[in-house]
Amino acid sequence: MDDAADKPLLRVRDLTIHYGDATTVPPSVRAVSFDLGREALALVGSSGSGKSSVARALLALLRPPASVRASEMSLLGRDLLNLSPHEWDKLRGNEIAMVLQDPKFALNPVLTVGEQVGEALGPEVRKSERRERVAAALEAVGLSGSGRLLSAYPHHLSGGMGQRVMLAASVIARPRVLVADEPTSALDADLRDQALDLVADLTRRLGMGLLLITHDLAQAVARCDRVLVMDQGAIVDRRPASELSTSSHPYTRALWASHPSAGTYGTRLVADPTLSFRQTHAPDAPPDTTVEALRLSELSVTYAHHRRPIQAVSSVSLAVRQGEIFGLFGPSGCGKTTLLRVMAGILPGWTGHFDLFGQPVASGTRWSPPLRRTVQMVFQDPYASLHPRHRVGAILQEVLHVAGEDDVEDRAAEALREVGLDPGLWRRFPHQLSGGQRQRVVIARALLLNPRLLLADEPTSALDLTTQAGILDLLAEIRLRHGMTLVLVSHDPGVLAHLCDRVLGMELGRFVGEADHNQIVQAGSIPTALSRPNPKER
Amino acid sequence: MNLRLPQAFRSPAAVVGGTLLTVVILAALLAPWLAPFDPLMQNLDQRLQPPSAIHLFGTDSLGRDLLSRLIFGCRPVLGLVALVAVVAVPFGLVVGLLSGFRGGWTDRILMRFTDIVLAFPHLVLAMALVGTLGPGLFNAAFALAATAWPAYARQARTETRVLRQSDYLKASEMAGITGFRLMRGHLLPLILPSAVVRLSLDMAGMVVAAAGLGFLGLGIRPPTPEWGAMVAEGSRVIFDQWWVATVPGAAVLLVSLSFNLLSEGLRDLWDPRHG
Repeated sequence: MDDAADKPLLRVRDLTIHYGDATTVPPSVRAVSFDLGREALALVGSSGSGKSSVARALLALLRPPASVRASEMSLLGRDLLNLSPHEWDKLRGNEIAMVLQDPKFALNPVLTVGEQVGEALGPEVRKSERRERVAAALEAVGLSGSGRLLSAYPHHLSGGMGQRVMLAASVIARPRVLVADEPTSALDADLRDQALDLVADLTRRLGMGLLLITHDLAQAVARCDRVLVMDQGAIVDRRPASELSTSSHPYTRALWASHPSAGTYGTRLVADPTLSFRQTHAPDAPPDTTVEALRLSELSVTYAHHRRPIQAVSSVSLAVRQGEIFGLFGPSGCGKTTLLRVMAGILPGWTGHFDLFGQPVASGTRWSPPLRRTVQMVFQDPYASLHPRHRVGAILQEVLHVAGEDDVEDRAAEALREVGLDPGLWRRFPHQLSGGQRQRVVIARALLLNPRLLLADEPTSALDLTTQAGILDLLAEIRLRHGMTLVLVSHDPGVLAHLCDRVLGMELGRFVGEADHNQIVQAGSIPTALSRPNPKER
Repeated sequence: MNLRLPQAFRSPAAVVGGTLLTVVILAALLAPWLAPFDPLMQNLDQRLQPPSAIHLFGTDSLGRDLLSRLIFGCRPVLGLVALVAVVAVPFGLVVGLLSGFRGGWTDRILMRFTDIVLAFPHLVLAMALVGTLGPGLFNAAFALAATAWPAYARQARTETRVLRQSDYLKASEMAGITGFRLMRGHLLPLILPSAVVRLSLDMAGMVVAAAGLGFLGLGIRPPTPEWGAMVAEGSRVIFDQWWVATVPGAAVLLVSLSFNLLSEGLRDLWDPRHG
């Protein structure tokens, strides 16, 4: 099964990685073996499965206390296990290269694009040749190889362009093997597909071996020849991409099932996907359409940015019915988060009309405590929305305490149980929890005050697919149990199609369209009218 | 084999600095028992003696034992630094927190006031204050504190303003946690560590500043032993009896150095990048 079309470029046998003392700590990667030829190979797994450790080991980027052992690890027959740091410096970038996750952190802010891309060539390449090769590399990734781009700095680039520049810098020295570790997780959904297509296409054209590391099975299957599925440090399933959708391995099947789409609307993503959550719980009370949960008319928000006004939201009108799951869709920077913050009452300066459960809300005023409690929010980044020096128990208790509630301790523990967490996590600090656990704590905190309207700002964009599936199930479940209204912001069409009864599309602060669930099902996903292609990148 | 040491021991700088400071603090506490002679006892027969077995560091121009004066001199130095820390840090933090949290006019007024104090050179302002208030331990401490707080206020304000944008403070706000409660329970724990690191850095400077005031005769009144005043006294005979000025001068150097080492170690340990 592992035999590539031609002689393998990269051979890995029994790769085992320990973080810490090998005699006491269980290995994070266990006996991983694979060959990589001139092909695209995907390594798929949820976070913590060890897939990134494998990538780092291949480029000798792991430092003690991590230890790497293998019976063989070779590139074109050359042993990689006993190279000196100096030999690695010559190999990295020239023979084997890596594309990193986030251009914001991986590009040096004080080097221009031209310098940055040419850096991998080393000092021995002459200036005129260097210029030519930089131009060729940039053109290969679909950017202009001349003029202003060469002298632009990373902060001039959009996310998608930064990604392309990083890719150009990775392939300029024509390495034989390219390792791409979640190369697009920092990008919007539409840009993500473009960037992945580019990586796959470019490596194929240049005859390189590609090892694509991702948590998204669908992306892997669409672009790779073979797929390795990793779970808890070991490869559990390996097959050609075309056969993966029919794989009988339970873990692969669970990965498939965790993929949200219009087809999974109304079902659970985890455990038993055939049971609808609408059937597993008390029958859905018909939404009370006489009172709207939320109505915005002609709402605009203007920021002053360096004394220049920037209109983040321009006269958007929308109405959310009670008990509905309402989605806001659009690329990053389209104003959807700003709109959500207005609804949450944490962005005071706006114009227009805003009614909350039939009551008008005035701009620029502090919300009264009862009003405050009706709306709660789940934030985008679970790593940034919990106080780093407060324990989980204290975070939850304080909310109840301030609200003047009784039975603070019992109710906080109950809230943890409700979101599927062990109350034993009570004394942990946020940094001692996983991303999924943190997001559950954030949800528990939002639920403590029994809000009637729950706002969720990209609640799963920082999480991998399997963790996301659990959080989406949880949101659907609590929405039903508490009969609350849910407004969900996302740039992921799958998440919105899976969860939402109605979706509103936004772009550049403006309303572009609206679709209800039936229209979404007919179109197969969010209708294209709501997701116009990104404004042309400069 | 992997004995788990307290965290502080992982930084050699902190260990060296901490040990030196512990010695100084112990010397200050146990001065009456450690000192071989009465630091005030004059013996004009024995004046300006070089270091010997009886007088380990020699004697000064009034025949007082320099070692004993050195040991007793730990007390005003540490007392002064502690007083400055207790006054300047809380004041600076309160000003900075209020300024960063309230914004608007509160911020403008508090920060312009901070700017004004910051515009004066530290020691000059301290000298002016002692000049008006008169010399003495408390006045010197007050003068130094009055010049030390603006740095803490600035730092606290900047950090508060950054933190106010964070999602977890927005979340607390949505849960109705506001005002004093938010400042004390949520903001203060986050800005305190950097203030403590800054304080330990500043302490080295304060030791030197305190000795400087003493040197100029603006610190503690003689004949109480104080390192700065001792250096001033010794400087008159520095070419013939070098030890009289060198011994207290070296003590100032050593104490400020150990504060520097300790702060460097603390910064390493508390820097989030070091986990």
